[in-house]
Amino acid sequence: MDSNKEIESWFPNIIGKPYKIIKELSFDENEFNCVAFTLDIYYTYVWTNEKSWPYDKIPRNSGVPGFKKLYELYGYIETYDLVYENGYEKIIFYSDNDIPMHAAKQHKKQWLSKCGKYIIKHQPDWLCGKSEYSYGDISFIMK
Amino acid sequence: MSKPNKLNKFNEFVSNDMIILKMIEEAESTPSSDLEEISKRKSYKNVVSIGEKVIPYLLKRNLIIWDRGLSELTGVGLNSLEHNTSERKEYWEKWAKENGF
Repeated sequence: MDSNKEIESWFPNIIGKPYKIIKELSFDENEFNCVAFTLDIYYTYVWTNEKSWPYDKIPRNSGVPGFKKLYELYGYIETYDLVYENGYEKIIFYSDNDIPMHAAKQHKKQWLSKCGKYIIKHQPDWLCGKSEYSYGDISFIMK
Repeated sequence: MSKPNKLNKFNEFVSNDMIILKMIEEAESTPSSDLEEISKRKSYKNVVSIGEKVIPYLLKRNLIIWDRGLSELTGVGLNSLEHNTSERKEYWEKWAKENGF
């Protein structure tokens, strides 16, 4: 399937928007997930059911609050706006009905996400929605 | 009507191969960040339900997404709570070589 068509099949709200595919990862490169990407980890998935989860500090089944604690462990603090602040890399966390879904990071003034095998540039709300693959809503922002 | 047996068999082979690859690609097409959630999707289960025949296809893909499926099909594998994704991918690469794939 064409890359753009694949992304647009996942996120109906992105259709017609000027999102950009920054990179399509090869099979060998595609060893990390969105949360790992936001933490600049490129060799493993970071999720509650993975070795990388700091289960000695955060219970594995702690849902969205668990992910907030994860970012706190990495030195992030909660913030309430998406505006770029010099010296900070902000992170958005998405959930759908309190189910953790996705994380995106602000790099310079752009929002970047690892979605499937793609690294894409997008606006935060373009990935939101209630379709099968959309990420629900923004649940918290860290910086 | 019964003469083109070989052709029928050839077409059957090509068709199966293409169908399996299409099913695999469909299961791989997901933006989900949770490998466990991916493995519970219908498209993923459909691939695993093909059985042992699909093992070489999945090994060739060499994608971490197939870690759970390969474990289910082979009865071996590494626990995701104890081994990171790179280690699990390496495990399947090694397992493929040792088992003649």
